[in-house]
Amino acid sequence: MISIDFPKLPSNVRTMVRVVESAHLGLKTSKGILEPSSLGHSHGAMVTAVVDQGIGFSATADLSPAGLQHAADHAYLLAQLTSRTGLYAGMAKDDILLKPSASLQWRTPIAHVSRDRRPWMDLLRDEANSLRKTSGLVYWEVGLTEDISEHFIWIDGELISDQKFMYLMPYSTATVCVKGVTQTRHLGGYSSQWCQQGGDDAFESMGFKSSLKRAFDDAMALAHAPSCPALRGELILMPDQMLMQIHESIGHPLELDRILGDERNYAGTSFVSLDMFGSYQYGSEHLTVRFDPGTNATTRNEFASYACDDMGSQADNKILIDRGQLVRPLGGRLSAKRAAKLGYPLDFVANARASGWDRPPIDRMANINIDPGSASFNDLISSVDHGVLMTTNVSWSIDDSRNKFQFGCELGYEIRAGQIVGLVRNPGYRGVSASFWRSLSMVGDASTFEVLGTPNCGKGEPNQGARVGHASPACRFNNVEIFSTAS
Amino acid sequence: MNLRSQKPVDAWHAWFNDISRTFFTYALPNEELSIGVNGDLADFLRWNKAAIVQASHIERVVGHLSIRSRQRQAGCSVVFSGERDADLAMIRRQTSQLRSWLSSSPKDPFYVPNAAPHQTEDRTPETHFVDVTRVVDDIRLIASGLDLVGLFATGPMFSGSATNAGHWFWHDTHRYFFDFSVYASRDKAIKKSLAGAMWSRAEFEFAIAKIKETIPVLYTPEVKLSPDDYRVLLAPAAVGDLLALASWGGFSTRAHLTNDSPLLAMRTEGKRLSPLINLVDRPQEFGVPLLSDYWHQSPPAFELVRNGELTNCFISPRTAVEFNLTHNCASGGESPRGLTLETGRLDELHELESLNTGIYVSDLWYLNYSDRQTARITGTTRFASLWVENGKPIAPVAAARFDENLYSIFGSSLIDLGKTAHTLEYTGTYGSRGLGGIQCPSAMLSQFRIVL
Repeated sequence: MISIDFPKLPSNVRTMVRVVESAHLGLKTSKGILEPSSLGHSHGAMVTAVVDQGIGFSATADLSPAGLQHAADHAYLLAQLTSRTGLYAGMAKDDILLKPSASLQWRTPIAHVSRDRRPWMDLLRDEANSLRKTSGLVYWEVGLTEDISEHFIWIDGELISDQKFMYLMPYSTATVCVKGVTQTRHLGGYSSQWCQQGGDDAFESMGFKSSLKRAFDDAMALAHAPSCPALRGELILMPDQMLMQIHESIGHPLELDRILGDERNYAGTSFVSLDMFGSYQYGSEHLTVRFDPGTNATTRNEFASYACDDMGSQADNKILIDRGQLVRPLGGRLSAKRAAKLGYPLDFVANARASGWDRPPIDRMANINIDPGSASFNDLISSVDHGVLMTTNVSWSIDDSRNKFQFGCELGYEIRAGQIVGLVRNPGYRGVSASFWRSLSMVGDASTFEVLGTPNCGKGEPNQGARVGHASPACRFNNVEIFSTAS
Repeated sequence: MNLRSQKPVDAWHAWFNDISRTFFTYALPNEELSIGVNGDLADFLRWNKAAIVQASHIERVVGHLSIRSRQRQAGCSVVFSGERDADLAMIRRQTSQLRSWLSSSPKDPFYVPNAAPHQTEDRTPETHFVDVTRVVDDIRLIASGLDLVGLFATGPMFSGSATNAGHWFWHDTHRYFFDFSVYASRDKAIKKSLAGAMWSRAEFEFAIAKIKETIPVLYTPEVKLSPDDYRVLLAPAAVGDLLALASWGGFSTRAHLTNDSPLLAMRTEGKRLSPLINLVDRPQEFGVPLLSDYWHQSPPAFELVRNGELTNCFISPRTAVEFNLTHNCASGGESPRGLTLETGRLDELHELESLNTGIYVSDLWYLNYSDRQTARITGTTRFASLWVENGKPIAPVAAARFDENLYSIFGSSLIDLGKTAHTLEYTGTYGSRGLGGIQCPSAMLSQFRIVL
């Protein structure tokens, strides 16, 4: 538990101090050789000053009384600057920042965590050396990253939140080359979107043991497989590609700061406008999407589960899209106040998040999940006339309004007449968000549901990378343009 | 209004001198200690609708500590507060942790010794101070009535490194950039980036005047392109984005030797780009210090492609040891820090006439490899991309997705390059601001495949 000397500003100023302390460990073997370990430690504070019509932020790593006071004075100057030149005309300080009624706490649920991390080096080496150098094997890597961070928020001198997060992500990767065809397979870690909160139990839940052999076997099978056929047909996306589809064509377009125009110079705008909430048919009746900050046993270990956001708003489970209809945006309390000022009174979610102590909060995704449906995996496959099942994202791109997208995956399986007929390599597909979700024709049941995430969601000026979670069942879409991404 | 940092760069310089010397007294026999810092003392002003939407002052000094001993090494990134006692206490804790890891680590078979000790200092006088409140007044006045959105960033940046073997390096600079767009409608805008040591009101005024001259065409209804091959003129910003994508493993020896380079075929199959393509890395053109990993000095100019042929790739000392090669003083990332593309013969004033009928692509967006092995790429048009007929801009184009290949864009489809080089300074701020950029002209292509 960190204690601070809370800085003093004039009585008409609301002051928030957010302290983040984090530790990082990166271990990896390349081609069986253990590379030098990479450690990291970071701590610092973001001081926020709020006046009527203005807000200012100042970050410092100097947590001494003098350091925090200097940061507070600086934040106050910037709050005064924005009060006369900013977008917050007519907003009282309670509109901008409200102190919650109760203190909020989060602890990552952990079954077990090692006190001494050094034995992990042996675990990685054993896995890396389990694969014998075989013809065609070009490169292989086995590693892990562990991140631990503690977040504390005080508003006007009172501690209002205390949250501790742990993330452990083991991974294996194999690259092979057979007769000029190179294929890489990622299992675990951020490259295959296997990202959750947790401790040592991650090794088992990710299936770390023998993962390198499985990655190698998959890569070899891909190198011998035919290219994905070009067709317009049915597409089944497994959860590790649904993650990217949700992220790019639901999550980003629904970010309220983007809809309000803040991101137009960098991360882009949105095809969604303020007047669409409550009436726009975003997808088919099979589509229900929710903001779930870890409110049930299934999502508690999801990557962006937490008790409150970085402006102190309590995080609750809220529906964004209800049976296809757009209900609410991904906007924090302040963004919702701005929308209301424009004549659109919208509900908010607790998603004002910062990538660290050194960045101010902006509207982020957190956990954006699709509710499971009723179809078993066999139901999904047997319903396909001619199509492709795709898994594990490898390439992604979408236009700046988050509409025209193209994705590529590591593995594909061609399906004909309800049967998987074979593995195909370099599968890709294209579409338009505004129509794609309306072609969602079947949603997998809980047995196909997976909780995944990514640490690399980028947006914001100055830039911020954030952890976000996406949990989804396997899903089927109709009438999709499918092709091979290989030349 | 005083918006200065708590500790000026001079004080950080003195602090680093003191902290590093004290750190080195902690060395045990046979230990090589090194310390590095990267400081960014920045004011960031986010704009939307020509008003400030978020104002922040961020003092971030990230450091790196490492211990090397008996062919073992361990490193740790840290954050410094500038407070001597707190920083030294943290250094002692991290040093102890690093020794613990070091004792458990095997010998590093790719261990690289540092180059011979040398000392470098490159200081910028603190007079380069941008008055943020004056900038705010200038922007509000000159952009009044415009839908301007973007980021203004200013403040000093510094980096320092030292070892207990006698190496010493310090570099500081004061930079600003204003990366902004002026919007005409939903996704139609003109984007501009200004950068330098000192804010210039006149330069901003000139940029806005030029935007006001050219923005009217963006108010016309957009043209939707059908999937097809089009003749295109890529503006320098679009060319720069493509070069940045090509640099993502394209010139890394490690990427080539692990089959992870998009330009692998240039090395293994002798594949060539257009003879018009000449690429040289010139970091100093962007104020980037030449200090590289393991205290080597990278060359001020490093040729990568001559007349379309891949002539060199970056080889870091670690890659050299691993693959039994001779290094060329490259840093571990093995990528360019100041890539320059030689100019061609296209007269910028008459580029649209040369295009005749086709797409003027002002900016590209969300570039990615669809197939890294064959340099097949995708992305979309953005901002002020226009449909041009008979040399005249007709209307903005709706964002269009392309399916292309770097070998076509910079090879078989390339007609000519512009004769004016444009400097695109790096405006990324993940973690902190940085130095670097790309210098390149526009490019005329005979065909460019739009697919959606």
